[in-house]
Amino acid sequence: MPARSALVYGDVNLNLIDGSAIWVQSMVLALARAGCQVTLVLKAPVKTDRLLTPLAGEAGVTIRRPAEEKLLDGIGPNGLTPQQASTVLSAVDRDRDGGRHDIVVLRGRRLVDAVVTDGDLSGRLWTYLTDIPQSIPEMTAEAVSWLTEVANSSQYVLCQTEELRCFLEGSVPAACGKCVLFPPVVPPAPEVAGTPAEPDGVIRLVYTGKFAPRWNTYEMTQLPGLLAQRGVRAELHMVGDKIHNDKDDPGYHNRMRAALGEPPAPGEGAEPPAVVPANGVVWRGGHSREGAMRIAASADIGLGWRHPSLDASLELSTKVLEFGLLGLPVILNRTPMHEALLGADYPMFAAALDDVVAIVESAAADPAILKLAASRTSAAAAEYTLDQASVRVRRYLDDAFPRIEVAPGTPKLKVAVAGHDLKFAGPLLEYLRQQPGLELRTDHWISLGEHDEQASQAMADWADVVICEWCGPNAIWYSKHKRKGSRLIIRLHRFEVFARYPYGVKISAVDQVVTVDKHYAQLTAEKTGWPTSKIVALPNTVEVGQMDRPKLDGARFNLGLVGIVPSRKRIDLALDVLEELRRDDERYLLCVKSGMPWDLWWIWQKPEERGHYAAALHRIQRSPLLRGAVVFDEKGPDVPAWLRRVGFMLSTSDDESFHVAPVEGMASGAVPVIRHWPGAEGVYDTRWIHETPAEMAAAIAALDTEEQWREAGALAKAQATEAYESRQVFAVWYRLLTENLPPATSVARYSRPGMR
Amino acid sequence: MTDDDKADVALSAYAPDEPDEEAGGELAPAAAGAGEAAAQSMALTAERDQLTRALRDTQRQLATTEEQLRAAKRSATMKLGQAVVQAAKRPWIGGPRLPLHLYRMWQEGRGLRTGPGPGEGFRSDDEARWAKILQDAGAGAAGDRFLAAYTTPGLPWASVTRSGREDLADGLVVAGVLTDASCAALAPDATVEQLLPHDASYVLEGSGADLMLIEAAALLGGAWAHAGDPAATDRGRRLADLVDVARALGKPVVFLRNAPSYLMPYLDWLAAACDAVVDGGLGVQLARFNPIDLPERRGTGPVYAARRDQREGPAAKRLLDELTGDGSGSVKVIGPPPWRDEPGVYRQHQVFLAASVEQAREQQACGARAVGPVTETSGQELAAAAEAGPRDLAEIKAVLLDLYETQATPVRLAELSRQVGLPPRPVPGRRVAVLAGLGEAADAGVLADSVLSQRLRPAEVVVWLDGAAAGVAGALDRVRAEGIGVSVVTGTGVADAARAATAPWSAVWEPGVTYGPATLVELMCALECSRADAVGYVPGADFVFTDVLDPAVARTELYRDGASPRSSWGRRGLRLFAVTPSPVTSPVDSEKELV
Repeated sequence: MPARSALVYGDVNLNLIDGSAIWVQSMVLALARAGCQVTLVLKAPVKTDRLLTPLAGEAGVTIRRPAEEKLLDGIGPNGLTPQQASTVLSAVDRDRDGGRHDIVVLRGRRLVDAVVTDGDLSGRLWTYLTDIPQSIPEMTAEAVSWLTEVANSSQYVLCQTEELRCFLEGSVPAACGKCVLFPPVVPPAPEVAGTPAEPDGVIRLVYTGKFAPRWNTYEMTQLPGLLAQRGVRAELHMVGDKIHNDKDDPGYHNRMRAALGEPPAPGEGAEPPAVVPANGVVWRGGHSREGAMRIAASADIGLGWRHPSLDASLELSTKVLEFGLLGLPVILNRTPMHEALLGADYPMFAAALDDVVAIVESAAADPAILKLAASRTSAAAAEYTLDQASVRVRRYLDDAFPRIEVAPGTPKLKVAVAGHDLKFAGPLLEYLRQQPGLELRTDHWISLGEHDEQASQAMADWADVVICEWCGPNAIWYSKHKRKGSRLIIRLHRFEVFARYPYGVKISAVDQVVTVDKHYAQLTAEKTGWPTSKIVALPNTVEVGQMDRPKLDGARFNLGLVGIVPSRKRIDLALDVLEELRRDDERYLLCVKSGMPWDLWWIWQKPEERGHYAAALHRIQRSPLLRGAVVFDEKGPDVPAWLRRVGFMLSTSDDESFHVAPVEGMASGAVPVIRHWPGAEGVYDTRWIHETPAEMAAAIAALDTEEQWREAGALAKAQATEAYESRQVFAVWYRLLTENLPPATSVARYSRPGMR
Repeated sequence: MTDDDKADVALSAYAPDEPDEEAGGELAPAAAGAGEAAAQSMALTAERDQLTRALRDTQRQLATTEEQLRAAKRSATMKLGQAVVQAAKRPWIGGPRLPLHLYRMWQEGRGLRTGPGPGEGFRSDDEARWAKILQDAGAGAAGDRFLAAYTTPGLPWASVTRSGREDLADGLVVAGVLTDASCAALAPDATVEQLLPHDASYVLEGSGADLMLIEAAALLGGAWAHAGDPAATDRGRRLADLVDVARALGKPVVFLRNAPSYLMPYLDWLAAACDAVVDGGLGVQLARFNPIDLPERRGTGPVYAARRDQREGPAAKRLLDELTGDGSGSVKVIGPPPWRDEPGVYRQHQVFLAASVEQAREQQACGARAVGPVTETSGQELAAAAEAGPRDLAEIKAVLLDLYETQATPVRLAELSRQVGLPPRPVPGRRVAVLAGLGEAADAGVLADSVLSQRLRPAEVVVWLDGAAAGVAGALDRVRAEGIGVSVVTGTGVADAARAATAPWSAVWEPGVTYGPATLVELMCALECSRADAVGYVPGADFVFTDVLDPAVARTELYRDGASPRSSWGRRGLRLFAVTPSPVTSPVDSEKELV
């Protein structure tokens, strides 16, 4: 398989070693180790090659130096401006031997803005944004508009944390389906010379980084004294040389400076002083990242405790991970993100200085606490290594480019897709479009029965394979205008089975009819009398990678229902289930994600539909068991984020062809609870299928521990992945273009009743 | 088709003269019967298939016709289209005629579009009835506002704990993002509207709320769960919208931080958007947490009515481990009771190790001794508490009185109101009028002294002159000067005074009697616990409901003309609560109050 190619640029000066520079280095290495040919374009002239040296030795990495190579006039000493960078990137991309890069990885808001505006690299961008709004009030209409443009231009939007991903998806609909995780990468720890110091009864605390009010560095300097009052001998080693000038606290700089005591002599500080100051605070001065890590490695506890105002960040501090890589326990704030990282029972969460003192005191008395904390930080850091990043990138590349390679010189198969509404076929079209062995065109009908007949005729003449999306007038037309030697495939959804269109299709011209499951294959055969040998079943698909996210606290008690319109979706039965559960446990809630019937005039004009919803809403308000227990969440594409709050996915419909929502729920780890609509057993494992709302409720209540529920959810996830993961299903579609699949059903035309 | 015909079809289809292999070529009578049944079944199947084929043929014809119609539509001009419609609608008028089958199709299609009328196609009578109502009312234009079409303001909480006759219209109306437990805490003293994410804005607009309360605990579970989490930005946005609506309507917004901030660090913006941010909960609701009907025997060993939290800090964890052990410690972990059951559980034990200060207060209000949250000395304190045995009622009432004055929900509500600048007005349950007759000038002075000495000041004093009016003005002015409303009625009895009183509760005071400073506070505290219609002193009965009493405080309306005679209150279903005055804090100068 030919290697993918990536163009990487960060609006970052790689001469200054900081988090963003390390990110660029890590991204290049991760891409290269995932099998990519990487072209890194530098922002500024090279003054130090400390970050570039590891890249230069990496296979497949090319470094372009716009300043040195004079790729553009007017490059200043600080390197490319965002606009200049956009110009250079376009040129480098255009001039690449072997064609343009498959992906373009960018970091930096202003840079992304320039590139998106230029539009030359649109569709191939992997954008990484950190300096974006991270709270609801900050997410203004202008911000949403800009982020929408970015998302539309991006193949992926890389998010550092799950929190940021969910926030973006919940705020910017265009970002849904494009946001993927790219957590910080922790570079390997430096070799630590010598052996750890022998325990001497002194607890050594270490802080590395800048000295600033919200980083609580001044408060930290009180720790040795406070601990001494409790009989604990402790030292605080402070690594860093940048003291913040705070405009709100003009005295801070001097206060902090005084609290640090004497700085080490130039060139020293790597080794601890012979004599520790009386107040226990040892200022080790500024050091390289490796130097700082070496000093930290000889300590007992790292300090990452900060002011609570920093808890709202949607980004993860790499400091914790770096300490973790050294096997160092860390005292830090308790936040949902840190709990997810280290466990809610991590023993070193602190909210105030008193807590820090108490934790150190406890740890000094009980080494098991240190051991437990160290094991947690180490395990957490192991998830953020370069190897892990490389695995992630490889998966994203595979998802983005699911290509089935063909031998060079093989003529391309000409595939046409015709239909009035191609939204259900979108992911399939995207997949087919990626295939080097195909040329794909679409005949987009104006409406169900309206089209440009000349264009359709040209398409029929051109195509080797025609796929009719929906079995409507389009299928009738193409069955009557099929070019000899071409292949015709009809994809039939639910509504056509009950419509008259199939009877107008010239079935002898059709090679394959695709339904979503065996039940509909059988129904189609029975209703139309078409030869069963032509009817195959290919299920709908689900993006497992998007759905698979950690569940939120309390999700086990949330039932999910996606889509309540029209009334055959039967929200009334979902209410029955909920009422039954709440008789014994009022923690159960029903979360509905759906459009509303009054927004669809063709639904709302029907009295029986209006009656259904009015009765349901009245019941929701007046039933003591339901009032306050049903939430109508906003409809929208942010289903994967929404599923994080859902523990059970309901399907209460009278009938469905497939019902993808429970499958998406399964992929998220929710347990499906399916009413036995006709054909349900063709889609879902019968263990999830129940006859009545009471049985559905009983099945939910039976999973009455967190462990049981998680176990059932894991099984459901495995089933969804195996059967409905999109790439696997699409691969079968690919085969279908050139070969007939085994029929989905064999309807015995005169079999005895009850014997089928 | 007759049964015989069906059998014929089946027989011809399945060649019945072929010998049955298992029967060895001979049909036994029973087997013959089974064969007939099978033939019947086959015949039915064959008929069904015939009909299916016929239906398919029809459908094909229809599909062909529809195709013709579409072709006609495609090729026709607008004029022709109009003519077709016109011809279909009024075929009796001269002009172009439609082919008959196209005309029928048009009619069918029209019928399909129109759908069945009310009474057809409904799953239940209920749905049909609602459809009819909506059809008449033309509902649906409201859009998402329709989600709140059946919301009943305050309904779920109206009957939680307060007496059915209490009118809270003059009290505080609180709308908010609230837990069920908080609604139950507020309901006895305020009108509560619990908002949901999908209807919050609409309900708030129509609720007449004085203030909006956003409770942090409500964002941890329930309908608003995770609204403070980036994983539920949709709910967070609705919360932000709700704040905007409240501000636009001029309703102050209070953020009650009664959950650990580390569980919701992403809510800085909410705190900034609110008029006030208040730490802590809604106080002790004595209507729920009280010692009424304490079991005769209560658990004597200390219990911990909470879950051991994996978020416990190392120090707290160590201490709790020491006390609770693996179920063998001195403190038994009974877990957190559901919020509705909390008062009952707290009444069943004498000693608690409390998980929080708030829980300790509620346990104390239920008559228990509470120690905690856990400290180094908790073990000794628990041992001492167990050793001391159950609290007697006098001790419990002293605790209650303290809670009533400092920690009860009405106190908390007053504090919240003050923080957002609402008028300082006690909840209706704490507004009491003193009704008194003045026989002589000195009585006014005694009355004024008693009123002004009360720990719980009355909302108003209403007097009638039972003799000379001269000389009372000065004393009454003293009362007025302290902000207590004073009115002098022209009648000569309690009923006239009660008629003029505006407070929902009244105490009738005898002329010339000095009432101890704790008189009103003790009575109103008992009232807040019992939510009775009247409270009075009954010898030998303390903190129990009774059938008969001479009221010390009762609903004002019960003193008015036309009210039932006191002797019938119990029979008429009024709730009467007996107390014994505290000998220390509430000396009663006269035996007159005692029955």
